Amino acid sequence: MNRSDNPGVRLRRPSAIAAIVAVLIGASLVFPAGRHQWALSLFRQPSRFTTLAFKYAWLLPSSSTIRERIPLFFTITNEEGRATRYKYELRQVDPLGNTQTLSTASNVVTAGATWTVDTSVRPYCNLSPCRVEVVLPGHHENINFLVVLHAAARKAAPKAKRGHGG
Amino acid sequence: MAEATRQEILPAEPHTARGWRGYPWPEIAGCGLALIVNVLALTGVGVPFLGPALGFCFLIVLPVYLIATTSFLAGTSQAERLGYSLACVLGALMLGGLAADLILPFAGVSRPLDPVPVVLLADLLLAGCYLLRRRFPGQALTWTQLNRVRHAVRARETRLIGASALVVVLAVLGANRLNNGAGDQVSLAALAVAVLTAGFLLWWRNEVREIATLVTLYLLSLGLLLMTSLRGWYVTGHDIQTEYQVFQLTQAHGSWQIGAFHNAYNACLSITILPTVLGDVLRVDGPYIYKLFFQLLFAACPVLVYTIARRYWPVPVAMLAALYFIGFPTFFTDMPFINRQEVGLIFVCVAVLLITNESWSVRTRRLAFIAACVGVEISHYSSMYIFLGILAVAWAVRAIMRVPHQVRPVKAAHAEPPPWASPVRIVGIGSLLAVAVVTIGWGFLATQSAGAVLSDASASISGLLGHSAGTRSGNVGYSLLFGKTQTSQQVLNDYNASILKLRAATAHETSYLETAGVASHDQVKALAEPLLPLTGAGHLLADAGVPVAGVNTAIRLAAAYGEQVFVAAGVIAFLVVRRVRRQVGWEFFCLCLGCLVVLGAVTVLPDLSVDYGILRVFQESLIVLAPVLVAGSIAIFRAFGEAWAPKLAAALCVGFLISTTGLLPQVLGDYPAQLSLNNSGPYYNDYYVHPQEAAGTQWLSSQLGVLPSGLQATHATNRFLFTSPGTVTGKQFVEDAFPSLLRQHAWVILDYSILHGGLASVSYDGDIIPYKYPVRVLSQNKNLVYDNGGMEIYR
Repeated sequence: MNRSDNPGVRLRRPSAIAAIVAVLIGASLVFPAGRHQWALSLFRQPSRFTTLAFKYAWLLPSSSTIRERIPLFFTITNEEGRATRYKYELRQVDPLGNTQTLSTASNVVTAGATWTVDTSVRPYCNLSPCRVEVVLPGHHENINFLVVLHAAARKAAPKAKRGHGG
Repeated sequence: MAEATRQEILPAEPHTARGWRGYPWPEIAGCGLALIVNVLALTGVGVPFLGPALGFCFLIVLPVYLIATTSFLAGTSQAERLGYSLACVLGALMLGGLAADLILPFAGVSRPLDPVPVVLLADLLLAGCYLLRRRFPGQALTWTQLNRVRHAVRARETRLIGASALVVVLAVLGANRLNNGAGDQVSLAALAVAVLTAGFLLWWRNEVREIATLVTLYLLSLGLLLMTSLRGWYVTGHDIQTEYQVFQLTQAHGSWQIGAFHNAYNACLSITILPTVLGDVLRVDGPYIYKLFFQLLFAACPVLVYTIARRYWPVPVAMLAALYFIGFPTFFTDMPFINRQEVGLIFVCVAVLLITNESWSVRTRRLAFIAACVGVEISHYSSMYIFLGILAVAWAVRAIMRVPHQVRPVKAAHAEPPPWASPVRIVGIGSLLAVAVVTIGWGFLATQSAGAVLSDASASISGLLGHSAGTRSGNVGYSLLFGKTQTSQQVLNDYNASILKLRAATAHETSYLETAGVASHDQVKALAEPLLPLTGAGHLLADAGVPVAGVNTAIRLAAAYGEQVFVAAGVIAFLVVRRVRRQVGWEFFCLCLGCLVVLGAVTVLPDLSVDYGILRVFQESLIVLAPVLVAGSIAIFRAFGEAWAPKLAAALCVGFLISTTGLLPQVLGDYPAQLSLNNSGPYYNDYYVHPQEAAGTQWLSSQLGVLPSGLQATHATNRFLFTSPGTVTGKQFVEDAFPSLLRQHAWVILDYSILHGGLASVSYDGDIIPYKYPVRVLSQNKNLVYDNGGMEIYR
């Protein structure tokens, strides 16, 4: 039967087409680039990112006194897909942009794990409000909070309005 | 023709034909399927891919098959039977779930929509369908028939079905690739194959049997829907965010309670009980109930549109009608995000099929029509209001047309009364009242969720009388009736003014950021939507002096205006040419007029285009108007000769399809990016949920003071509702983070689009206006408490 001329005739060899498609797919799987393309088409690829967050964000203080200890809890979550060494810096920035490092530490965080940091800072900005920052050198993420610092003479006054305790 | 085809493909055989081991195979397969799905659902064992597929067959496919093969539906075409039985099954699942929800608590079952009661309900439904078919047997499907169908398939039919199946595969792979950050090549290939398949379907229209046409249309529709619905690994889209919230609310409570979230969304059983039932049986991740399984259902809608058109028109017109329905941009860019309307439109199609089905008795049709309207009402309130409006106008038009014949009765006793003088009609005053009672009963009395319709009507009338300004969506700019709309900056200014009023009114109870008002008033400017860069092909055209952006816009406008002109031409042809009018019957003609009047009302009356969406109303109207549109285009092209008219109409339809599906703008560039083809563009910025945003939302749900109203965000704010079982509530509220609206103590989300493109957007009066977000207002005044590179949260 003449398949191409007569639309009424059934396609007799769909298996041949299927075989060609199977061979092409098989051939594409031989090469790493081909496998990568199939992976992109078929499976969800993980997203790589790092999360930096205060653990109890609603408890961050809005005012304090100069050099008074402010407890800080923050987390660094590694979603980069591999173990990563994270170094954090705690800094204070005054309204003029003057920056001082208050403390620093580092740790290796395995993929998918979270490093919970329990520390404290004693900001001493000369100008208020003082911004206390947590930055990860080598990463873009940073978190910070503003705190109005009262002069040390007010030491006897009530302490931080809202502590950042656990 | 449909009946002839059926006879050709499925020659009559006694239904008692026995298969393997002397038993009819459907019963064996059905029992096996039910057993496997029961075990999987009750034990909670998840089998990837296979489990959900078997569950869908058990819950939807098998009951649909059983109902479609009863003798009740004998004498109707295959697609019509599919529509009726699909509506029956969807209605039974929603109303059965509702009955279980209301009755089982009295029997001590506090969570009636948990997997065990739901699987038992599904078993009852399946058993009921089986007994119904056993009592009223129709023509069953046997191995012999399947083999005959397989051997009877023609080469061109195989190619069309194969190509349209390829569209589905490419659409899924293309969406996955885009979600993984890869390019648009595969999605573009899917669109190209879809357009080519549509072209060949029209070309080979005389050599392709109806069943192959129906399968091709279904697969093409499914491919286009999946290209959009599968974008993103999370819930992506506008309305779907709240739809997902009410679904999760129902699933988390194990019951549907309108009091848990007094909202019109929660009154739609199509997005509360139906997805919960599907989720309990299919055991698939919640978002994929909407992303995949609702699209599998809605892809049947164009098939039903084709079937409606085939009532009165030949195959080419019906094909073009279905293609216009599929090619209307709302179909594949918005409908996958409005799942309640998807289910509602299936019932609307079935209702129109019943109105025009002259092979059944009037009483049966009326009862079935009212049942279909119940389905529309419990699925989607807006679709019901629009449909009720169409029915009311259709009834009024026919009543007016009958007046002259009642005044001057037919003199000759033996003379046949003209069709419009006939007292028999489906959309009579009784049916209309029954539908109105259903609408009022469900919307106003049972769920008390329809208050918005009254306020809309009041605002609309007030605006019409000039008592209030009234607003119109920017989309009415595509209308021939009302072309002039506000500029983006005017809308943004209006929004800002309304916020400043709100600030003044609530200043005593809420503390706003002090600098925010100044920042928004002086600095927030509306921006134009960013365009795709010119492609190689676009550069070639641009170098030849062709303005690519102008070409893209001109073709889109030509499609928008052209479709309206064609509809008008089609209706005028009805009015002028008696032969054409007689061809369709008065009831259908009146429905067409009803659609036109409702479309005109939504366009012209203030506020309606904002609340109901002019494009969505047009999509619903196309169920009836699509064949009229095609008839109108053929009538206009008749100036080029009888032979050329249908060819030109078909060429124009395919041409519009190339543009409206996004193929041409994607190939040329210089046009706003479409979500199904790009990782950019307005919908991507507004609705796409990134993994970082999902992680941020999850973190936020663990913080104190976020709910119920302490959260602000830009773009589609409902993306950030908490929907996990432990946190979902009906009392969440995410306020817009427009700069002048920022509150002192609220949590404020800066999403991926702001961080990576600086663009925010505001949704106001049905328009989405992009603007540059002044991030400094936040960074200078609030604490940055969360940052993952894709989402920042301030407090």
